[in-house]
Amino acid sequence: MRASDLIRQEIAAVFAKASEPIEARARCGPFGLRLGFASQALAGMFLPAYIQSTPQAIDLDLRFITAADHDLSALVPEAAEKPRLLIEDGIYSVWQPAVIPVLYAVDLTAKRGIAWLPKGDAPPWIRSRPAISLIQAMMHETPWCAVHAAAVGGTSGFALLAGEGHSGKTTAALACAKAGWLYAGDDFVAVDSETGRIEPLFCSARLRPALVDTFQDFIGDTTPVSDFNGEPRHELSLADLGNRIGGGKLRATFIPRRRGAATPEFTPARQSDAFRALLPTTAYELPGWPNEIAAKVARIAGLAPVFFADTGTTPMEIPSAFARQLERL
Amino acid sequence: MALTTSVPLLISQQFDSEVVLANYQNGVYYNLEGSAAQIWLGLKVNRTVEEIGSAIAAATGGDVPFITQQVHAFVDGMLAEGLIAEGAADARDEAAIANWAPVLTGAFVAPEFQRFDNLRELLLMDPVHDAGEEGWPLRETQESK
Repeated sequence: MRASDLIRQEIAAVFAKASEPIEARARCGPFGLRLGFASQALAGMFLPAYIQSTPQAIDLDLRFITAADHDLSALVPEAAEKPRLLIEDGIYSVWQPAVIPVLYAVDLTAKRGIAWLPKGDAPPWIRSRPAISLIQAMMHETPWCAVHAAAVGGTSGFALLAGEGHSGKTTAALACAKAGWLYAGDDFVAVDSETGRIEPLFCSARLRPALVDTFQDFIGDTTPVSDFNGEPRHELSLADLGNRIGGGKLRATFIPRRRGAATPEFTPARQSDAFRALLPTTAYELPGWPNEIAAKVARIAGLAPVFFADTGTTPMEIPSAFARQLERL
Repeated sequence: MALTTSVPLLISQQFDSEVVLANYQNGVYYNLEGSAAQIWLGLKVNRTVEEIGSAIAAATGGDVPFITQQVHAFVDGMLAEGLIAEGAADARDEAAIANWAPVLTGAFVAPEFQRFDNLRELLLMDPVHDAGEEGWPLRETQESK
């Protein structure tokens, strides 16, 4: 039996059960999702990251299950310590062994997906962007692309904030959200590579503990700190922002960096700078179709003016500086 | 020696006269500008090293043997970095070959690439990136079904 046939068969078996104990609907980028959680614990783990709403259409039926709910051990590939990717006959599947293994699989024809947690737990960074690789798989052969960036929108349009970890994306995005801007995400957002439309994928944020004091009155209660490879983060839900979790039209791409400016400063950058800032984590974390994703990211990099943004030393000065820069365009 | 710019796990994007190459295998990014970008673009349309050297010399008013020697050295460097490979070149697109000409202004400047190593750390951190193209080997009990 081919691997894709077996995975398709097991997905169908999971969905043979009419429903899961906890169900919800959410929007995720351009897609409407029906979410099913096999337990309250799973819902508590993942649901806070989703933008719960009642989408007009369901593009993906997605279930979160553990080994206690369904034995999918037959899907674990040979040499289980190695990550695997399968794209075959309408099936997209990723096996992430790591310390806490996760299996994602989607039947793109049936529009059904699963996130299977053999140990009943998930790595903390996955809680802030659950099943994002399946969402990227659904974007295959569409102009949409999930990109590693933050995005916030003011009256002049949206700024896409592209850069590696520690570049200041989350600080800038939360400062803008706190100032009343629309918030589309601090880690991954969906971008239409043809029109420049930005949509949020999740309502989560990954905040470094050092920034808690800066945003305490905005974020409210913090979650426990997760630590992955020495990268401590509070995995936050910003669901309380309500309709300020939203999208809009890309107006500029800012590449945050800290070069010692006291107040925010902007320097023109090239399309290739935006490409280099957007592609690496996007490509590494969302495996599959690397050429297609690179082509989409290249188009996104060329949709709007690009600037390096030295975000300064006072986060609360960032929103007004961003607003002035966007208005100048 | 036939050369190809189609290298597994190497992504290329052209931005005007600049080329960005991303090596997904080791996380190294490269920027090619000026004559470096033009050499890579020439190889992409299957121009030979000699043809590229002559074309760049004509565009910059430089010395053909000297520039061809520089192109040779740069091509060797790209081979060592895995940015191009020896092997069957892509099918020659005669129209693309005929239309290709280096876009350069001013005097010849020796080609060099900018190398960005700062993304390698990401490769060590990320749990997914190794997911390869070798498929999804089922365990024996499943294969026999």
